[in-house]
Amino acid sequence: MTGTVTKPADEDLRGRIVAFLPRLRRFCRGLAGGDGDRGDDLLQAAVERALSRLDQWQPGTSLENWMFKLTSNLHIDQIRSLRARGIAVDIDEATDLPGVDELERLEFRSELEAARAALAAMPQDLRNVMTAVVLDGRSYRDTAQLLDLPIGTVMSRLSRARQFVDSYVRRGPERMVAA
Amino acid sequence: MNRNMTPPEGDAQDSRLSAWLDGELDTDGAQAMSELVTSDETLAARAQRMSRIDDLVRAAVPEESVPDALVARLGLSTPAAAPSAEIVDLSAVRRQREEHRRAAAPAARPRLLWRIAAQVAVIGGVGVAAALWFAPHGASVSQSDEYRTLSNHPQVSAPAVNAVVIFGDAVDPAAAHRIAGAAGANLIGTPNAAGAWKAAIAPGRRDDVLSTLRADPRVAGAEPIDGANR
Repeated sequence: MTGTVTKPADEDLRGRIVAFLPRLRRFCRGLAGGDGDRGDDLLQAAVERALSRLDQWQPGTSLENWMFKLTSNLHIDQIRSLRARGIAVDIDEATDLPGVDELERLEFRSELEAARAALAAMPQDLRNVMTAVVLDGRSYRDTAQLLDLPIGTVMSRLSRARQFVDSYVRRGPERMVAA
Repeated sequence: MNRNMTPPEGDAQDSRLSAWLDGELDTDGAQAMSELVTSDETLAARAQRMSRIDDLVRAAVPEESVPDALVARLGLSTPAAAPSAEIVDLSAVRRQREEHRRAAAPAARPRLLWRIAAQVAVIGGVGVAAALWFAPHGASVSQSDEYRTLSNHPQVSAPAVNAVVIFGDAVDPAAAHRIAGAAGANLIGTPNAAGAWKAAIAPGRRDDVLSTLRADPRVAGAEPIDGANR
């Protein structure tokens, strides 16, 4: 008999996935810029991939972290695939904030609407970090490991992401009242 | 945050302010930033603004329960995923609460302990608190509604809420999610007026996860809210 860890039955693993499914779903929606349908598509693809690779998860490690990492990697794969097919995705424009001209064209009925628009328009690299920290409540260290980034990059991108959303929210109803 | 973080020069203060809000600065850095925010109205307003932005982002992409249909579509429908208890086992809850009281440092956390005790007591007592938790604000709750909330009823969709967690006063929602997630618990929605979160934990791991949470000094209490631990 060796000291190997016995792998839980698939059914138990599925139950454990269901327990954090709401968080994973929100994470997917965040990565998808708040788009519910695209988020659920990513969630479905991630769960399918995970279930087909459950044998690759190492017992004794966090199933949750494994799933979130798999989801994040899958999302990157999907974006690269889109780019390979000539569909523009701003994955490299990590630190771009909206320009003055762009902001001038924006007008929102509420701050919430502005925040939604900002998430949809935000460069993907900023969105990834904001999703992990703000939506999923991860530490900078966890986020760095999840996204394969230095912690300093997590910190600066998060700050830029907040500035990005702020620039949109400032185009909301308060601005119109103040004008 | 560690001192080796080196954000771009122009964004340095915003990055540090952002990290301060996230509780990511080390003790000295956090103290220095707290003093700055206290003495600089502009910086204080900026911090408030960032916090507001986070609230808006969370509201824009809220955490929601996953409909049964989607769980099925994902190939995850399993009996283990469903809530396992029909009623609250009061004696088990009280036993666990007493064990938790003994395990915790009473002198260090008295104010926190009464909060978890009160929450579990009201939830375990009549189920009304739990029912109200799940019900829309302002909705009246009938006897059958109360019962359905705590039972394995088809209308209750995943996730299976099976625990309640209360954090220390210094723990903000983002940190609460982080702490719970690291332990293996998934916080659902937002805390109630008493600061108690409902949580979903894989049934087979609930005891371990709750033990992990109780051992965390940032957690005031973590208790099951069904009778599965009998």
